[in-house]
Amino acid sequence: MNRTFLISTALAAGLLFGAAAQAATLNIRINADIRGTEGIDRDANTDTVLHHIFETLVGFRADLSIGPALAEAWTVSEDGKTYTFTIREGATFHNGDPVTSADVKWNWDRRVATGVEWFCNAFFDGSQGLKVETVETPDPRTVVFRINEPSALFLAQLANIQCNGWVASPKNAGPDGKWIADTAIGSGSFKLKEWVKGQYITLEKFDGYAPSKEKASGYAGDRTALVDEAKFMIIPDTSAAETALFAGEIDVLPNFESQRMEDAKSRGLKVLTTAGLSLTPMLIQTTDPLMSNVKLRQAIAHAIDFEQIAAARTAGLSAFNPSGVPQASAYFDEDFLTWPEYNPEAAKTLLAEAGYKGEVIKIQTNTRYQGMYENSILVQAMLAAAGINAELEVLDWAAQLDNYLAGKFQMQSFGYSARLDPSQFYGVIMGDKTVEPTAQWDNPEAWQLYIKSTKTTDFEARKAVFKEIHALMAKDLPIFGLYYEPVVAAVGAKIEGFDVWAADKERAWGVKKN
Amino acid sequence: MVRFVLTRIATAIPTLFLVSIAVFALMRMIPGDPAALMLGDLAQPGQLEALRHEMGLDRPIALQYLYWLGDVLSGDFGQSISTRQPVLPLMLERFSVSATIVVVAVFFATLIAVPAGMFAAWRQNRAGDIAVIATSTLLLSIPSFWLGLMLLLIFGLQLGWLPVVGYVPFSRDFGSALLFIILPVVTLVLVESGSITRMARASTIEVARLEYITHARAKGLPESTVMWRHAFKNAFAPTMTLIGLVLGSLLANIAVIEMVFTIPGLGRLLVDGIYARDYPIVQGCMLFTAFLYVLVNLLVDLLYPLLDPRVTA
Repeated sequence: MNRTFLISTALAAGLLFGAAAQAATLNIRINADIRGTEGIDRDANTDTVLHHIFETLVGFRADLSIGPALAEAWTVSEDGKTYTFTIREGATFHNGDPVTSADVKWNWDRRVATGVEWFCNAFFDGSQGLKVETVETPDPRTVVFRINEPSALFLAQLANIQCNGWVASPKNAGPDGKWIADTAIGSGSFKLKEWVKGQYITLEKFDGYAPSKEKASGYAGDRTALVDEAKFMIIPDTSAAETALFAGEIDVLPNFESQRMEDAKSRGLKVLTTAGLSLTPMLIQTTDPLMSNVKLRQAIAHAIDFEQIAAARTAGLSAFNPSGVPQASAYFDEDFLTWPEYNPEAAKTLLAEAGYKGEVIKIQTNTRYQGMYENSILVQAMLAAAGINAELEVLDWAAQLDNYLAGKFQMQSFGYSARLDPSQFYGVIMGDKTVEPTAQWDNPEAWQLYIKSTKTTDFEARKAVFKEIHALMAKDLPIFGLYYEPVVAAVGAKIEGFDVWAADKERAWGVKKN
Repeated sequence: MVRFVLTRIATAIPTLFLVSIAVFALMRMIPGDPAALMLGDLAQPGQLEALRHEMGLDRPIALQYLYWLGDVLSGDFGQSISTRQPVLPLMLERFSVSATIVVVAVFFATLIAVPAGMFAAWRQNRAGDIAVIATSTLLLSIPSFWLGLMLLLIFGLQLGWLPVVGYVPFSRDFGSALLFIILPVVTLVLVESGSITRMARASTIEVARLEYITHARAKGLPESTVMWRHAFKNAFAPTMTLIGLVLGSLLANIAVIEMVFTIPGLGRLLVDGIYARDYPIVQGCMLFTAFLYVLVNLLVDLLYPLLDPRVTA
């Protein structure tokens, strides 16, 4: 029995290592399984994987400008209401069918018909201003979108990574019009090979991919695959994922803890970093009797050393930024850092003026996201030093999210998902608190400026609008932005060409494994 | 015997019914909305309500329970909220992974621990006994996740002999499957053999003091015959009860090991389900686990008379 065991073990080891040597497989960690292949029921992992298989008409470049993806070019009419896209020459689905304008329209109609289930529907149905009125297909390579009014956001929303507004083959749907489970026929440079639920998703290089003439950047340009396969391995536990990286079983570990960078480097791994787009703030409930006092909020702002928190939590990779305009954005400049300075003495004076008598201020937090937890500890300590009686309320993440959705908190340590355009972020935090409990900032003047930002297409004029919004925010203090979470990935020494970008989405194209 | 089995099954029904109520109620008492977790901070106005309606979460809780119970009784455990997969096939698939590891581990733990316990009893209060007791106490004291991580670091990371993450089913590739389960199985064998050894030792010592063992020795039978032919059967009966409990407990609590070794088993399914507030998954897994406990204990009770004729079914 011992002999059989040893032989089979040796044989298996041979097979395992032999197989690894044959195919150039790029192994990327994801922390949970994808939710499907249709893109409606989605999360961050689903978006990451599916954007390798499918292509949107336009995509974000690494500098967050809009570049070509499935569309090789586009024009905008004089009145700003007609967008004409030309589909990339040679674009082909994985089943060999050419991609046509009819396919674009089929996908668009399908997304819109989904209604509220497609979470981006509201971006295009007029409820937030912008409305797509018609989609026309004058010839097989031309598709025309007509919108109701000029919009600064139309292309950004088409490229919106979370919207998954990509173009899939109509053959993904069955005769009943429903998406066939686990099918994924797209035109991207990778095609779905195998999805073993709960374990991994393997994509293989699509040889029929016709590349864009533009250089690869972000989700735009040439996406040619250089590895034979990209395998997204589902490893929920962070320590296990780190061990797998150190053992060489995965090549790319996204969301690597910035404090662990030196350890990774000492093991011969590469650590890639860039500024991110996910704001990490302390939320303030301005409808709370205590927190509605703007003098108290000013005192809290003076009591927190924001720069120290940003430096400590991100190992110096991100600087303090309280605004909705991240450092990675082309709109960013120093004016967006205007905020009450760290001054505990001023905080104490303001506390007296606010009539603060040591009432407890609860900071809700959770231990599932270590960053949120550590931020809350640092803030609590700083508030205590300034004489503010702050207490932590540690909750399960699901419970905390419930409170966020219901607006039930005084302060909350939070983290927003990445928004690639400042208007998208301001749209999320602003609103009427009586009908939208998730709104953090209820100010009609700011709302009007936000609406203006969505319609202003001139860059400088738009930047000026964002500055006006931020100046108002620094006065109202409805939310305390701490920093934008840096994008950090650890990569195996054999990997060449992998890079991180502000959108924090892994890309397997353009990457080699030696 | 048939009557005994039927009686045991009948007594299990109220247990499972109470478990179903408890699990259902507890899941809804803890804060957290599965629809909200799915949408996160990207939810648009109206979308959360629409999703809650689609999931049936806007119905009264009692009605939700009755619908679920009715479906379960007809063999339909519902659909996962987060992955949209049917729960029953998913549970069975994940259970097969957990069961493979647990059964193999308990088998090897028994194979090692029972002789070790009997040896310690035979050498009671001598060096051999002390060595066995010390080792089993040490193994009992080590948390399984720590031991698993240490084995991972040594054999996976430092020596590179074994894979550190993932799982391959035996039906797909026997050799690779073997490599992937070695570390989790060894972890469980080491941790569980401690308690089994101690139980085997204690019950053997107890049996060795009985008159029929003294009689066997007085007849001049060799010590090995006394131990294996006469003492083993009676001494093994209580140990088997413990093994049954260990088996049931591991099938239910293997989550930690599955998280450490990234094994897609029932435990990980349950943990992921709790984080995502995936009600159908959690309810299904808990009910299934309760059923496993009942089943394993029933099997142990049925095997008991085979080892100890004084016990009748």
